[in-house]
Amino acid sequence: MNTEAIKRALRAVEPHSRGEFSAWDGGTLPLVAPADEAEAQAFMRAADGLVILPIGNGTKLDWCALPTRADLVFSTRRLVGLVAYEPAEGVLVARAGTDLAAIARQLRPDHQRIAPDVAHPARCTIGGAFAAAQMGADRLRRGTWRDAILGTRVLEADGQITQSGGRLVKNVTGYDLFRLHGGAHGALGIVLELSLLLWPDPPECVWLESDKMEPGSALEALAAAARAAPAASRLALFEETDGWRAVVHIEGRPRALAAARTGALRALGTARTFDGDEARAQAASARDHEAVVLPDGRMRWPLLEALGPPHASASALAALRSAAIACSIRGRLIVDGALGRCVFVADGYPEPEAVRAFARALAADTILRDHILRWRGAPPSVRRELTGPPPPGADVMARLVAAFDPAGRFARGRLHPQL
Amino acid sequence: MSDNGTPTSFLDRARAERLVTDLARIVGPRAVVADQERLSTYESDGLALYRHRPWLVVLPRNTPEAAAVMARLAQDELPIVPRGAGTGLTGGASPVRGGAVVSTSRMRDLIELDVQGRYARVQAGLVNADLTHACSKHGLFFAPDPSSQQACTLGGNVANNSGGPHCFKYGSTVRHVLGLVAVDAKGSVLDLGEPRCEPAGLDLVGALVGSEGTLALITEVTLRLLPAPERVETLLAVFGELSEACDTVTALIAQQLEPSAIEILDRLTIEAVEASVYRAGYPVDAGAVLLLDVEGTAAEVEELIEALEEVVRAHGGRELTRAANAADRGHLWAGRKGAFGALGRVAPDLYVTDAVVPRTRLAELVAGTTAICRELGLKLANVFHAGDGNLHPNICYDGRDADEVRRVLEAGQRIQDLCLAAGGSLSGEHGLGLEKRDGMCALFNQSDLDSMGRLRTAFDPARRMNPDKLLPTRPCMEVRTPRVAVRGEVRD
Repeated sequence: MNTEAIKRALRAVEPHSRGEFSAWDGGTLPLVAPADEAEAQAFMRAADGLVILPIGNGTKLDWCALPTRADLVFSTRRLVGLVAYEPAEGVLVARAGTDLAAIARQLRPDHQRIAPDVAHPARCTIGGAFAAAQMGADRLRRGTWRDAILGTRVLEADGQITQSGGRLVKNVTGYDLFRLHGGAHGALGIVLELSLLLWPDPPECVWLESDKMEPGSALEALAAAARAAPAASRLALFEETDGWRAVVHIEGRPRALAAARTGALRALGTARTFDGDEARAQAASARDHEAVVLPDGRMRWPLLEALGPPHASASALAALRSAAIACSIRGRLIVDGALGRCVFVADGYPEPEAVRAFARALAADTILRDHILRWRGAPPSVRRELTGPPPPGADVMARLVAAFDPAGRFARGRLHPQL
Repeated sequence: MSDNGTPTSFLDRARAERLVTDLARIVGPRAVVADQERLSTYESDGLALYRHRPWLVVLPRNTPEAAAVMARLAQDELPIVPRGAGTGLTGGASPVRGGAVVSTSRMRDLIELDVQGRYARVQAGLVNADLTHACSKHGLFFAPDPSSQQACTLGGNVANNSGGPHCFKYGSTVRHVLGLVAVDAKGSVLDLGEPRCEPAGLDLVGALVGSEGTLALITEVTLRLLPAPERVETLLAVFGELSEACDTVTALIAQQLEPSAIEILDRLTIEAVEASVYRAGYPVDAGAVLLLDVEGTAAEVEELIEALEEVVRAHGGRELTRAANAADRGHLWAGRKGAFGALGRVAPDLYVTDAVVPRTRLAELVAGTTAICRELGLKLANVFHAGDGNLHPNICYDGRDADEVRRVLEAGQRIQDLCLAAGGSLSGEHGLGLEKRDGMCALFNQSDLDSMGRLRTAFDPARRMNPDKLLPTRPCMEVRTPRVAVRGEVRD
């Protein structure tokens, strides 16, 4: 590592913009957190020849493969605040380091909200959640980042700041480069600012929680609830120690909500009902269930996500459960049935050998073989082994990475070891 | 083969004949068009102001044929222009450099309809309305509904990220694309067709949607279908003035009321529709009407209509009527969707502009476009997606009148400038194509465009896919420089 070059790069930012980052291997890396775009550009110019790992608050580093090399960490966490917000337009422009809870607080008086509704919003920066394409609990109703994002400003590898998209709810002007940055983990550039579509914050909501059931009955109840409440924000199954609970989260205007609630209750049979703030608290708690906050404040995601066709959810959850039992990995399953998403949340970090065995069992399963399997928080020592084959279009992705970052200034290997 | 405009003008005769023979071997002789008369059909899309004849047209039947065609065209390094139904309005399918048009019009299969999974896999040439027709018996529908939906293809919708009235609630096409299959300029197939709920790696699907055929030829699309709402009501609000209708829309949005469609038609449009076969029963003495669809459960719909009534009344709406039944609804919407055709009664030609503006400034900007057209002595008809701030000032003109054509183009430029100055953008749903390509320099700087160019080059290093579209071909510094720069004193 070129110590002199690192020192030179660090000198390009103010002392209070520097820090240290605890890396995955137990060591530390120098960190810069510029306070504004000018400082960010000055750093990029000074860091010529060094490899930069872009992060927000660093809460989702576990979500991708380990970088092949990183000399310095660039955090957007000090680039905070709203750049533009016009409630009547339904559009928000925020700096990338703004945490999602802070944004929610600013929007609440105007009965607006952003989507996706991601876990632990107070710990996540909006730029980080976007760059990691973090799914929200309200995915069923409000979609993904691809649906929400309207434009970006990005610090590119050559130090230029470029923009694409805009601040309008409907716009097809130019290439939608901004969509490429969602889920790119900073491979193409560092997102400094995002424009987002806003959603009305429904005046009322209800959270329904069924009694414990067998998984087959719970899936049937959930399907019936989906028919009764087609605009539900979440329809999920949560595995508990002695059964499964189907949960339904419905938001809306009073009369519409009442009608959907009656239908969903009929579908679930007996169910506990939470309204208003209690319902919001239940929904947030279920949303945050997938991450663990460590005593030092860092977050871990000891989970595996299996994405496949919705109709295969029953088989997928059975396969995940039996593989976990065979490998002696303890944990709970969550199923977002209508999305075809099954999540296995392990009780703490499994041993590397158990994870390897789990991966082998899943690869051999005929149902899960056709699913996308995403390890969110496997132990660092095995993470590279778990990346699977290159995604479809990997050659195009490699060309894109080479086009946007020809000198390899942003840490490589995170999307896939071959990228 | 003739000497002007056909392959012999860019290849020697022997190579040109070899090319046509090879292509005919791939797709069959009837699916290669090389005679001048038939080629004239492909000179332009819906924007007839730009006409360029292709050297040949190829109509593959499926992805493997399309890949073989593209690979063969790559051998002779021909420019390639993808084309769906040719209903675009910006010259996006105009073969400006000649070359080959690859049409998807023979690729019309519905490959798969998964009712439980709520998605359909279709070939790119399937017509938009045919998909909704095919899935309606299963209680499903495809939300994007451009006015041309009876003719436009789904591949074209994806390539242009098309909209339509109901995109106010459901979003543009990009929100409904789960996957796609595309063929690049060299003939390589990019199969991203699996209906995954999340992209794996970079979001290539998101990048390809709206790329106007400049990155690859889209051959198959996997589309999200939505459950048909339990109830749909169509409302017609009548206003004395166009500005009142605009202010009503701004207020609806500010109050977070969510009809599924909010459309405005002005007086000239109403008159044209009512005098045409699309007659819908709009009041001809109105300054403007607002056409609203409200969808959802019965309770949702009634609750929303009550709230809408209040807003309409508060902003000068003199009447709010509800369609009595499905046939009545159909008539009201047929009037709206037939408006562009009906405007043919006003003048022989129609210049359809497309701009998007902040929704809080609708009334002001519609008034501005009206003033520009009045000043230039042009007939302006407004029919637009008000809920999205997506203006369509339509100028009715006679293309045989050279001076009127000049004034139409001037009006188009001034309307664009007006909208951009107000924080608007070049296009809400039609794309840029050839017409608005250079306008990119008014909205983005050279670094932004260079960045977009990197995306294009990564997909198509030789830039043979739909050349000269979407991005300016000259540096912005040159585009922005006026043709005549008067430096010295001008004396009469």
